[in-house]
Amino acid sequence: MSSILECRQVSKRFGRSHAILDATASFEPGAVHGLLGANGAGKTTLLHILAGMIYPTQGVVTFGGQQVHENAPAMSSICLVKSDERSWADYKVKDIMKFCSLLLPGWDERKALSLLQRFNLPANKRYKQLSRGMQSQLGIVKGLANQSSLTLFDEPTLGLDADMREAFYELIIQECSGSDRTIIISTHLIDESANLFEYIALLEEGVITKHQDTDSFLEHAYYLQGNSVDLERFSGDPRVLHADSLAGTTILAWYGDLTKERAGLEQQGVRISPLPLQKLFVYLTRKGRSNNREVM
Amino acid sequence: MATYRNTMRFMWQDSYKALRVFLAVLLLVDIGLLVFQIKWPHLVDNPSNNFYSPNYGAIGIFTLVSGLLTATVTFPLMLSLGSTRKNYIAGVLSYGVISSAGLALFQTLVAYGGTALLELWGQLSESAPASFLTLWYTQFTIYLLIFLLFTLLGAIFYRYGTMPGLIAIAGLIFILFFTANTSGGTGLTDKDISGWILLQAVHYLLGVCVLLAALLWLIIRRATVRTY
Repeated sequence: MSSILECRQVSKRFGRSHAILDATASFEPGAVHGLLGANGAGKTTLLHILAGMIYPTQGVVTFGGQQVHENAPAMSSICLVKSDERSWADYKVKDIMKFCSLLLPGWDERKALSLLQRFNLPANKRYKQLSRGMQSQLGIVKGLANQSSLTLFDEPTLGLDADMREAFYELIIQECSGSDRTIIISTHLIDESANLFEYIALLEEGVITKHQDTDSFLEHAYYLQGNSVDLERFSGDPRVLHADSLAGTTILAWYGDLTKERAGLEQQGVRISPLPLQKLFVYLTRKGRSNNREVM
Repeated sequence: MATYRNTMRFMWQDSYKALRVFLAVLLLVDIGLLVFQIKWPHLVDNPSNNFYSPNYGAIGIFTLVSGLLTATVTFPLMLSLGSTRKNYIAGVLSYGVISSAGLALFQTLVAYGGTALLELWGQLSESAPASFLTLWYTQFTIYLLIFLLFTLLGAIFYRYGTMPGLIAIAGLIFILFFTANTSGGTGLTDKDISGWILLQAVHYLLGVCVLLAALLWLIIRRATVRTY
């Protein structure tokens, strides 16, 4: 399948430090992509580059084969929902909705009104007077009422309570079923949103280290739980992301091919279970950091 | 064309409330000053034909603030709503020209209307204001200059940060000081606005506006939208 959005060898430098380094990825259309990374990994910068708001220091971003930056049809087809829209601060909710209706070509007025009602957002309050959660909800209204081909959400659930987060996930599922909209979501709440993601892009210190469909991503991720003596031989194995031992029992977080070892381990009574996405992300990030430290 | 039309509608929507309130307050103050000039002229220490002169400063300050906000708020706002930098510049320049022309027209009408009313009440003017067109053209150019200058300064602050912004202000002060000195100390600011006939200087200022617009484009064309 041809990709809707592509970034090729994109780098962004701020002063002497690299926020993004040689990022290359193709985002498939009609899918929900998760952009995962630790704090400061470069998720927000990457999303801004993809939306044409920041020029990369090098590399190119294309949307439907056309360069994104300063390309009016491409930029109006990409909607970035920031986690904090500071330029909205002094405007009332109704003014912001009016601006959206004027400048966003895919704006669906009825949908916007119904979402405003659903989230109970006061039309006459200024953005800066809204609670953190309500500000996030207004961003969600912008992202969902604008029927753009590609919507990028940067931490859309910041400040939302559990009920509203669930509502957001439901809305995303509704939005994507039966439409060819592409959505990229960066989030820290990985477990909650894991079921949404059809593809995962992992960003570590500005580098996209993995980008694949979620099933393949999780296919080789396991917990191995068994006798410490049986599992000791794997210490130092690069596929082991993390190890915990207690009272003669060891739990290994494993990421990699297990075909050769599987039968033997099962004979030894080692329990093999899937590793949840959030844990996999945490262990991969930690390992990446420790590898980097070793290199340094 | 539809994009440009929507950009202009956005600009209007963004500014009309502030513009409406500002002009209403200004008009009320002018009416008050007019009443004072007619009823208690000894309380108003001003030649009768100049009772509306505070308007120039007020409109100048309004234009200055508009320019700063256009660079620091409207730019990220428009780009976050899918506009390109080219659309932004087209919108800002059009807005600058239209609002400066409108404000200049407002002030020219106030000057002419006020003078006519004073004459009606027997308050003779010391001198008639410059011709309608000259007065309008002069003010239009000055408001446009202020708008573009402060949009440019705002853009420098927005794109490069505080220190380069302060350096730009220092540079501006230096240029103003230099040009005031080379004009032999008889700067335009010393002139009475109603007697202002230095049309050639105004033409030059219009040229400066074109230069400022070009500089603004150079700064905006690869400007980064802040991530917050």
